[in-house]
Amino acid sequence: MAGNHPPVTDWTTDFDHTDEVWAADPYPIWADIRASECPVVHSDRYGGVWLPTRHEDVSAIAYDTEHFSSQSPIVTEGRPMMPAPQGVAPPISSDPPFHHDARRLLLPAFSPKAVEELEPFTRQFCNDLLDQLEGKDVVDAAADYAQHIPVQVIAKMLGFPPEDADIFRTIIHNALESVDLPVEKRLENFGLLDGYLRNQIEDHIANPRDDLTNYLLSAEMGGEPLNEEHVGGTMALLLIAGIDTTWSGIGASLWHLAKTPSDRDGWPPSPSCCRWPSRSSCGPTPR
Amino acid sequence: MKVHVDQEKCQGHNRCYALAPELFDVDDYGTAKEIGDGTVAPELADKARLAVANCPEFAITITED
Repeated sequence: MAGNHPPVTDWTTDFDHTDEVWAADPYPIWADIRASECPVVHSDRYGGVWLPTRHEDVSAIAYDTEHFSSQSPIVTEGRPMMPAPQGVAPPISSDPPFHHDARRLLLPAFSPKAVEELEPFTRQFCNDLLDQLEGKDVVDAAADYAQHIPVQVIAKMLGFPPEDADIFRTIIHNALESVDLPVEKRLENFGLLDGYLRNQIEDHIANPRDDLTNYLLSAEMGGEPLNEEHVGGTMALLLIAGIDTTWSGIGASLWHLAKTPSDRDGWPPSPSCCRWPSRSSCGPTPR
Repeated sequence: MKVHVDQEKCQGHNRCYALAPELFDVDDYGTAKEIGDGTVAPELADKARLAVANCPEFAITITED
């Protein structure tokens, strides 16, 4: 976390998304800015960065793809090596119309039917994790349970060895958690990801199999195969975002349920309910 | 009550199908379509409103009789 930048003293002129206060609880900071005279604030840190805090501003910026690019989805000291419209990790770093096609390529792999096929594996893995927790008085639901699930599922989807889980955790730490490091250090850290993906691509070209990596290697956009940077960038996105978003989501859900007994009414839900939870029929969904 | 998905707006988030599979179906790209002519049985009215509220693209509309 914040080790390379001084602590923030004024959130309206000098905010920093890696500051310990922000990391612990950003919501009061955003609420203060939102209620202030100027709900869009600027900081000179990270080469200059703006922060809109109202929904209507965020929405307007997200849809105004003529004036705003998605090429730099992580705010760091660095600037994107690969410019829009493709960006470094398509489609999250891409602008329209490239974004639409690059995203559409991935949709079938995440369709309800495709995800359903992964359910028995995922369910078995979760049950095995719970078995390992048996007999423990205190369990860290985030570290001992949540963080392991997406690592295994996304590794299976991409066709990476499950025993490489520790490497993935380091890759994600490098990409998303040590964002305040100097550019040189971040580039050095990204060497692990680049090398890992290069080896996987070589192995998948030599030994093709039915997984997302080989799918990307054989996929076409506009009648042309994806370029090397597109394949590697999308693999990196699926690995990093697929794991990080999901372990945060599972961990935050469990934390919410632990703190909010009223939302646990009716749990555990029936299996059919569990597959497609809805607030009306079986309790909590994220608000 | 009837539901209708604007397929031009739908971007395949699958939220409606996850929340109300009785009312919506999706293709391999997650593009959603109302089932049949979109008629919502009275007991599914809440689910229909939930699907509308959860669509990130504002692609679902409800017409009341």
